[in-house]
Amino acid sequence: MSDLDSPAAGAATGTDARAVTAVAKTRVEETAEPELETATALDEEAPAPKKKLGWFFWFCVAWVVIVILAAALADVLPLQDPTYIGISQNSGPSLAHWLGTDDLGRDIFSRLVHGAYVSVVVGFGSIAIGLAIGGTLGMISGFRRGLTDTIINAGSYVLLAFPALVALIAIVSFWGHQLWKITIVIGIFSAPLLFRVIRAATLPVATREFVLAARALGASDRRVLWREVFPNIAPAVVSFGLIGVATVIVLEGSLAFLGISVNPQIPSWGNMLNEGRSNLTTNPWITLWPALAMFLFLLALNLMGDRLRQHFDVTEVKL
Amino acid sequence: MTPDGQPRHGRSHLSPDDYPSEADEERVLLEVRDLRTTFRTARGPLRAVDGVSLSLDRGKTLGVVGESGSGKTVLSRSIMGLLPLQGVERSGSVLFEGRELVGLPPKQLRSLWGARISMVFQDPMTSLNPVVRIGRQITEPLREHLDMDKAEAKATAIALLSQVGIPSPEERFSAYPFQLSGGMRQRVMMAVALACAPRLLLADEPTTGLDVTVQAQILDLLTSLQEERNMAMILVTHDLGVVATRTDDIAVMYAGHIVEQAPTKTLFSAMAMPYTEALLESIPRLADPSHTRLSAIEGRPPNLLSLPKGCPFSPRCRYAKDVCFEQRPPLVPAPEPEHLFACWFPLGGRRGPTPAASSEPAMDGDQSVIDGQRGASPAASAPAEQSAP
Amino acid sequence: MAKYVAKRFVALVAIIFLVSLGAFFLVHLLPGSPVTTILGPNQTPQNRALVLQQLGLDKPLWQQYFIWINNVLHGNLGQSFITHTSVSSIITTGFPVDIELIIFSQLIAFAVAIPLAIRSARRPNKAFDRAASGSTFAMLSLPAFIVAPLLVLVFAVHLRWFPGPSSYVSITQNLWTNLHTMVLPSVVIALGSIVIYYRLLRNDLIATLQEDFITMARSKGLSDRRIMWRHALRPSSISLVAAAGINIGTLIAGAFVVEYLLSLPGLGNDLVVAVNQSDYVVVQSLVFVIAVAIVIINFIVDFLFVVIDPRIARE
Repeated sequence: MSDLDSPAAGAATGTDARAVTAVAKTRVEETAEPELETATALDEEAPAPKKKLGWFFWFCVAWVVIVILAAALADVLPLQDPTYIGISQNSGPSLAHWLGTDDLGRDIFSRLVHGAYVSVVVGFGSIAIGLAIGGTLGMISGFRRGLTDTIINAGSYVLLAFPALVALIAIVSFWGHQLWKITIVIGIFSAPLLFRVIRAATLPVATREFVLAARALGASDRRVLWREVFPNIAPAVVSFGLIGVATVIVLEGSLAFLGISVNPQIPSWGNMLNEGRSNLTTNPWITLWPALAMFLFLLALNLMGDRLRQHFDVTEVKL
Repeated sequence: MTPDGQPRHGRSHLSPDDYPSEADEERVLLEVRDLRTTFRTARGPLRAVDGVSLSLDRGKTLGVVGESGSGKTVLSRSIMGLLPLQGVERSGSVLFEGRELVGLPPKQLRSLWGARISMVFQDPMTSLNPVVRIGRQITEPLREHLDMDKAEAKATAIALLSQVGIPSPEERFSAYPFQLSGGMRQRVMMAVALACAPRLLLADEPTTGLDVTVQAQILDLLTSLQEERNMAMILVTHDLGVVATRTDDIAVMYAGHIVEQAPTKTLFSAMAMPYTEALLESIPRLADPSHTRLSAIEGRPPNLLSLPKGCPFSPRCRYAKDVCFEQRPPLVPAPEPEHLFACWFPLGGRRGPTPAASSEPAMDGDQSVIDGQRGASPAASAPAEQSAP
Repeated sequence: MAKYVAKRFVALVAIIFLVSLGAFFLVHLLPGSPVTTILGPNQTPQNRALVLQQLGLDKPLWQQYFIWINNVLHGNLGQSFITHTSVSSIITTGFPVDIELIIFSQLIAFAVAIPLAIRSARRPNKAFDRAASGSTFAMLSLPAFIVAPLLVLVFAVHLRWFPGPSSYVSITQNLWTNLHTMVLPSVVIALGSIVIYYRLLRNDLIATLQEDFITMARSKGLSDRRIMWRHALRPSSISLVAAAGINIGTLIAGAFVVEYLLSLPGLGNDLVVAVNQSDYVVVQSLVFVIAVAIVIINFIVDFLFVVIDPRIARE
């Protein structure tokens, strides 16, 4: 099987470490030799203490939830109008404007909160689509193997060989800048990568004995997939999904910089960063606040994804 | 190259005469006293080796026998010092050639490893680096310890390969491990271990996982190489059959302790421990009629994290009495020379030690009192001394 | 070994073919037309038809594809509809910029990531490891469009250590200025790569160091340094090479943002412009060339795999 990969949702803007790792690992795993398990008398006694998720993890979860809520409730919250062009331009943080105003006099804080909407929708929406398509296919493919697997896998290689950012630019500029269109396109392009990752996670599970036992008992494929396989790959799905969300948000930011994300009138973090570029020397706040917000959000997502992966990954070295 | 232009063949071509004879050097090569190795695990401290003492002379072979989990592998690693860097504690004394190894700084330990003490590992599949050619894996210690240059090391390595019985050694020199069979890989491992002519070889289950036919070959090879070089060897295995004919002395381990120790002949002719007896019985015999039930030792090896009070073998021992579950028997000498055992009711009608302040009256002809052995501690009362049988 | 290479090569050709199809149809199936760009908003049907015919766009799609691919295979990548510069010349001016960017950034990334990973793997979860892992993790959350302007602000505007954007000079003109200009962009890209390489290598090394053959190497009395470099790094570098291949492949197409931010005349800029102008031929040929480059790089990576670990060729 030819190994031609390139993550769909990557760019010099922060190709995701784990996504690349996952794809690279797939290549290595496919040539790795099976390991034998040996039980020792120690295994039967008290189980080793499970690695706790830690307060920091829950802190990140809280932050992510806050951002999502802010995005959803932006219109309802008592904020200033984000598009209102006011008189006090480029003012720093004050009581009236918590984070200051930008060069058009618009309230930065309000724009920040409203802008979260774009990032959240694009991020979670497109990954949801990608998982629905790529994740499901990956699970089926890794489970069934055989001809189905070969065909779909080959297809994913072709898609991944394609410079996705280019395609994204082309499609978005031609089709339209609406948020839902962008979400769908990014979602479709994230599918091949998620396919490979989920497939790699499914392979070791599908060969385990309890799956074999379920099949031997006559369970239908669909039942086995949902009852046996999926619960075991669910942690991997969640953790890679979160990381994917972070990657997509970065991608949207890149698109905004090329001027082809959502309409610049609509506040989004990417747009705000883009606008702030030209004002960097006059009013750095325009850039700094969305940068900080985005950085923290991405950090939280990455941390959650990583922590979950560590927590559920039995093969990780415990020292 | 020697000064007159003759190629040097390396140390493997030295004959036994080149090695210092026993008279020249101290006879006792290795002296271990009360060695303890404890692993710090998430579930508590694990005492893998719990107070082992033994000694070994030059050129002699000691067999260490036990089931998985008895601590025999950890023992061999502990003697050498080849333990993980973190989470392990080692105490006691290991005197090698008069030098204390416990507490030796890593750099000095490293100068001994591969040069004076070597180890042959159990699994040749995983113990050889799969992406490095075997030739290089052999020349590494040569160049590191003996300062050989590339050509000299290569010549020596090839000679070593043929010594361990690998055909076409020149070609095999540049082979990768996966290109060799299991038996050949094990031979390569031996070549690596013997490259610098060490004084002591620790062979950790060298034939487990090999074909039965190959096992005998490998063991014979080990013995002949050892005789050739007057090298001492500790042969660790779970298979009594392996040690029966190839060792001078045998130590039987259970749950981190030595429970019986004797010259080989004595062990087989006058064994004292029920455990040793059970081990021997579990070896299937060709002479038995077919479909004879294999006699296995009941139960499983003990959990080292929560050892039972008393004798660690008691849950599985067919002769166990109440006192066996209460108190741990000390390691005491038997009437035969250099024979030690740890049992309240040893086999063969001999007398076992008296348990301390027990409410049990003396029972059976198997139990009686040896004067002065009351409550003796294992290590101090029985410094193991072995001389040529 | 030869069989392995041959198999890969066949797959390579197949994939390139599929990609060319993709590139072609991607461009042609979307709305927008170069005609609008050329003629402007005032088009009469006659003018449209004339321009379409001139550009060869009135032929059926299949025919257009074969004409194009035939040209490509003969080395003629076509011309821009708008500026009439040949795609080949666009590539020869733009590509070297990208290549330089990639080479520099990867060199920086390796030079930083490898020693950090080795040091961390030696003593996992201790102070150094925590610090390094933590800071690389933070870098993961800093996209290029945040980092680049900040770096420019600090280093080019305030400190004046490096020239700002739009000061690129080709390497043939002035070596020193060229290098000077490339530092900031390379660093921006390197940051992303460092994260990937460090994490990967660190985890891989830690796993490798637990293997039996490392214990055996220790028992030979080899020094820690030797064990790390000779025995541990070799197997671990497989994942690193794989990741590098993927990363570099992505960078070829994806250095756009950095180019755009720092005004480097690379292919990224050209591509964006061409897309906006519906310059079909330029877009499809550029996309094709980029994809081919990616495919070739992966091919090389596969080849390197076998060099490092000969077991892979056995399948």
